[in-house]
Amino acid sequence: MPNKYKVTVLRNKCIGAASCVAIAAKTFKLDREQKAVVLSQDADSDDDMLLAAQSCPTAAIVVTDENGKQIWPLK
Amino acid sequence: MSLQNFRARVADYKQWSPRYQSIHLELVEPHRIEFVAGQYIMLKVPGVVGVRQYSIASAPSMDHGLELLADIVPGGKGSAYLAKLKPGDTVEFMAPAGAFVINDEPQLLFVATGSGIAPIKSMITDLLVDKKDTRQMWLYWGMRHPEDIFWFDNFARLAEEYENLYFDMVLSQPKPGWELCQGRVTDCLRTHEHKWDGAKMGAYICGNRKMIEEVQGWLIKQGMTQDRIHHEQFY
Repeated sequence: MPNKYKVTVLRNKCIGAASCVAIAAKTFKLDREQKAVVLSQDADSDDDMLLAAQSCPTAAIVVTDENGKQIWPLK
Repeated sequence: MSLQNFRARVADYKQWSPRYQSIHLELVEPHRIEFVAGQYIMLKVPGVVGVRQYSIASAPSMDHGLELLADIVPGGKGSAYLAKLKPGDTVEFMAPAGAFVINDEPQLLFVATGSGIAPIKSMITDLLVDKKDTRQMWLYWGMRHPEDIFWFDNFARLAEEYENLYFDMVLSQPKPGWELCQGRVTDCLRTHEHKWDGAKMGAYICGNRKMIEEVQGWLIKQGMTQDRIHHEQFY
């Protein structure tokens, strides 16, 4: 079953801390510029994707639900 | 080494200055940790959604506990939480995390400002004391005021004991009589560039964004390639 959350990395905010990679390694990886990129939207659980976004020190990961509503960062 | 949840107890803390505090945690469950020097923990702060990252300042050989360093000035919720902890208090965190780790370059340059020294302390202790690594290493650590300085003796002793470590403390606002480097860390780096072989060196930079960009830009002008410049941005 596909995840209900989708994640997007705001590249200009990413500092390459890699906490998202530690929590959701099937969803995120660091590229050659040490910026996070999304590998898959369905490989880790929704909870792990959300926790990965919440762990980002610069709030560089946006999480939206199946209706496109932003779940994180809180608006 | 996959991410694990840990519970630990505050064993000790040291207030080095109004700004800097180090905390020693003893692991409770699990009671051992495996990590690579340079990595960090993700501390759970009660009442805060998400986690706060703190680099591990101790070396991986100390696997029953961790030393963390907090910069209290930014006034973040994580800093406020750490500042209030007392010996015996319990904390929870996830670890290990982070990709700021040593690679196999033949020479190593470390540049830190402020609390950015934490992961570098772990790396240098691991390399010199635990692994007896003989690669040539340079450490430049920038602080603002003399009263901010801590761990100076620790690095000075290492530099004395291990001749492959060169250590320079850089103060941007020194008092009269300061005999080591002054200004920004890049000012100090420029005075020593003749000793380096840019083609062999890997650089490890940790601290604020502006300093990282400045050092990175300068190193690239010296001929270093981006893939050998590693950094961890703190603020």
